[in-house]
Amino acid sequence: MQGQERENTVSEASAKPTKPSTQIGLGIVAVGLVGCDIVRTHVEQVTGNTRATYAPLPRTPETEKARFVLNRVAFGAKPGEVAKVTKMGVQAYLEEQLADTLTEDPLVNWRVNTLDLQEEVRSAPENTADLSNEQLLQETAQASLLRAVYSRHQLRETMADFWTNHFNIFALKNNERELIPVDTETVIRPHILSSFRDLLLASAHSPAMLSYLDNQENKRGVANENYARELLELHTLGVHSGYTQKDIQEVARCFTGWRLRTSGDFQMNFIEGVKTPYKAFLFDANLHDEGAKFIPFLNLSLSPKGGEKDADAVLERLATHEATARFLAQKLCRRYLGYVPNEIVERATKAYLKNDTSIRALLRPIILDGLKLEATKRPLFKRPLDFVVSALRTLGADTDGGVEIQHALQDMGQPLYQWPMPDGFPEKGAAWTGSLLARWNFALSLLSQRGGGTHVTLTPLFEGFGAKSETEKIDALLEGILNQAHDSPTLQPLRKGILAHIQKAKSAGVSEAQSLAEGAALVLASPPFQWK
Amino acid sequence: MKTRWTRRQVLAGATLAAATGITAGIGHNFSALANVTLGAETGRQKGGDALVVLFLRGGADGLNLVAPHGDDDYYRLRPTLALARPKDRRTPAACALDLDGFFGLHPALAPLHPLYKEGLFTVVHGVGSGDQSRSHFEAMATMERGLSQQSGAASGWLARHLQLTAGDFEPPLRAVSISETAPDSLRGATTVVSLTSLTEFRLKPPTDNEGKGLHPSDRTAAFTESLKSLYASAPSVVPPTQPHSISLPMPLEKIGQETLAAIEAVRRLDPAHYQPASNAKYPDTELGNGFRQVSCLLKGNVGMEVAFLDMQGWDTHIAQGRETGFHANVLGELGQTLSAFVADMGKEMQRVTVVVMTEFGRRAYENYSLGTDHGRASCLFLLGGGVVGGKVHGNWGGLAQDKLESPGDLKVTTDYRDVLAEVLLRRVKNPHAAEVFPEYTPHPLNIVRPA
Repeated sequence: MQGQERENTVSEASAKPTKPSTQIGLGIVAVGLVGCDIVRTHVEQVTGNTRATYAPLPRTPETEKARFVLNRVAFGAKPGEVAKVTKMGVQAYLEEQLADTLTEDPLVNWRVNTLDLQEEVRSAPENTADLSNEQLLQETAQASLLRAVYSRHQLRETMADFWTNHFNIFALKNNERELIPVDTETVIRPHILSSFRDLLLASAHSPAMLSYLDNQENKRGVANENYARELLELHTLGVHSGYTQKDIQEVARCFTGWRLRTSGDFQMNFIEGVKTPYKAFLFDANLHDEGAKFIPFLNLSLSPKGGEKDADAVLERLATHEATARFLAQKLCRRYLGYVPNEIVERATKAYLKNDTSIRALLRPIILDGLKLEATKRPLFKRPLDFVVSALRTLGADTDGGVEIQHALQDMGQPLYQWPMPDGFPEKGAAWTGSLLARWNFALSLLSQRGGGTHVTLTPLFEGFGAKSETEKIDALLEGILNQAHDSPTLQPLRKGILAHIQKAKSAGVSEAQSLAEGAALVLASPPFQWK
Repeated sequence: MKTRWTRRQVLAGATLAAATGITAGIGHNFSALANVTLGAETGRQKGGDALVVLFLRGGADGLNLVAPHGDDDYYRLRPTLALARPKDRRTPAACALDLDGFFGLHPALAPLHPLYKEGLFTVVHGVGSGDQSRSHFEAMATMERGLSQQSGAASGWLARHLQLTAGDFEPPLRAVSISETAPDSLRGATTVVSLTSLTEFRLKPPTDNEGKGLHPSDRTAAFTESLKSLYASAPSVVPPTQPHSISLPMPLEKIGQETLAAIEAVRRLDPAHYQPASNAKYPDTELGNGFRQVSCLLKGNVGMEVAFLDMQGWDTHIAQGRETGFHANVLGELGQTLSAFVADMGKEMQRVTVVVMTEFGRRAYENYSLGTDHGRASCLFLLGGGVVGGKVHGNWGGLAQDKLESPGDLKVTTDYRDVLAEVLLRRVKNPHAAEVFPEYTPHPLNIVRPA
């Protein structure tokens, strides 16, 4: 029966006609990791790693701060993590996250590295094109989800999501999905907290970006403005900084001849013995506009015959421009604080410019001081990715980040790597109000153990809280999932609702385990869990 | 068992009534609920049209949708992309389908040609906004917010329309967006349901058949009841007042109640068994299925006043193609979908207006990649029983060098708000239509007849 139900679920999803990831077919189910608990136990034996455990929350003011900070700079708290951060202090936790030097959980590395795609990206990126489109898309998202759920470097992972959207690439635009994982691993991930200049340079040279924003068609004589426009508008200066159409046209001229190596170049590579991977970056001097250029907004004059260095000069100016610093600071404030406090923006802007485009320096005032502001405490509506990952984390779920999770995200409107426009998934809560039903269904399916690559068990939660009676178990569910004291006044309507649901379920003949699982699903589906 | 079933029925009805604000006290008839006739007192039932808005995202090339085949400059600027003149025997497949001797439809839009003759479809050419950025996001944000420039009201034009015509209560499916995320046009509306498939719009059973012989739907119903009570509590978070806040504009609990009410209404519609009338064949694509569902909702009389859909694929910088290729493919899908919708709706088209709009047109001359870059004016489609047919509306700006707007774009000769305001005023019967567009006084165009 369970197997049958799974098949139905998948075929229903496949029947949806043109939604991009519905091209993931039945065969993919088998790609995911199986028997994760066995693997986990094995890795734990080898590494001595232990699972975090649940425990009642310390009743101190610092506890609420720890919960708040874990909701904002992390994808929510893991079991026991609020207590741990309360103990070490919020400030120390944030410094640890900014330093980004913890030893990673070996289980995360193991799970990510065993994906076929990751092996190819590391050893022979040109071979990624041999993997099926479905596998490419699914495993790229799988790696992101595994890291988001399990990594100890949670600021790094929320920032990975931030940069992935900042330099958004739609995986399905040019049917060059194999370029996305290479972009993720070589453009985004090495630069998440380091130098924005390096990140921008890597992005400008990224084959996936060159393809997505049509720069391979940007040629001497007839420039294609697409990349130049989004570079100024979305990647660096921001649309309100004051540049004009003239600046876009001149920047586009600087990028003429920046393209990706295509099959037409392959023969030449072979003859010349060039080892550069297929579809890597190529500066094509024949297509470059060698005339003099002037970009008024950047006050940048370029002499004739600048070659590849024309665009390098533009990127250097853009990375170190005050408008870029301010644009990034504002965007990061919206992400982590939910609004834009001017004083924090100014401090972050100055720190970025003073520290040679350091992303870490840019983040420090936002994370360390911005999060302390009273207005920042107003909760933000979780985006679907926040909702799903925080649910998996708080329940200590065993997940492969595979097809079930990815379909749930798609149903909520956030299929990873599939936002078509270059501006990335919306940050605004209002964009996601239509996702409630899909959230409720995810909560139900997560707690109903339908099989697949994701498993949740409530036993450790009840054991961690020492919960024996039904009431104690309900209180453990509330406190364990929401990381708020079960007796706090704001949770009382929910507590009453869960209690009533479980009592009714039991009187209708539903088993205690099932009733409690439904109770847990209700906590995930309830208003309090939708906020971060 | 019988008692329990009856009790649940009553409960469901009562909760739906509570969620939608229907009480006997404010003059609504409970029996109407049985037929899912929500929204009996709202604009649509007062005689106004239902409004269906389709947004073509990416900047649709108006000069290739409806080609000015009577303008020689068109052929000078687009040596490879221009459609051939109607009945040009050298390239019969690439001929524009003549509308008025000057403009012609792209051949992939052939299904709309008979509708033009019947007066159910017309075109306004030279439409655009005041946005000069030629940025997709700026131009879309400007248009979806009903402005001439980006600065101004943050809410969407459809949201303001809905606010200005709100009745005693908000039907749960008053405004439906067939999309994964709510569009800017509906931002700030109190009732918007976003969905991609009507049949998916339900709670999935939390258990299979294993537990104690209970039917799964029993657990779904119980879960639904519990959600109703959880989302009926007082708002936990007050909507923000800070500028540039990204938080929710309305209480989450309210959104939850609307979602639950909509689930109930759709359950009663049974969309899985919907059969289009007149053998109408919608393409099996996101757009085709979207319009099929709009039709189901309209015929189901669930009180839907506004439906919003969008379609990607119009940003044709490269290899746009002429009678075949990338652009022709999306046009084919568009034409087939709209004609299927008109056939399916039949006489009901007298009570529906469809607006097809885009953020900007494309540069008058083709680029080196055989595509077109971002431009200014495009054209806009209107479908419905109320359109003034038999002609292409608007003033032709011309494609001569001195007529184009730098760096080579068709001038905007009709402000898009003139079109939308007239549709809202005359067809949708919003007497406050002018207030939908702040700081703007719409000009009458006479493109639709008063309903």
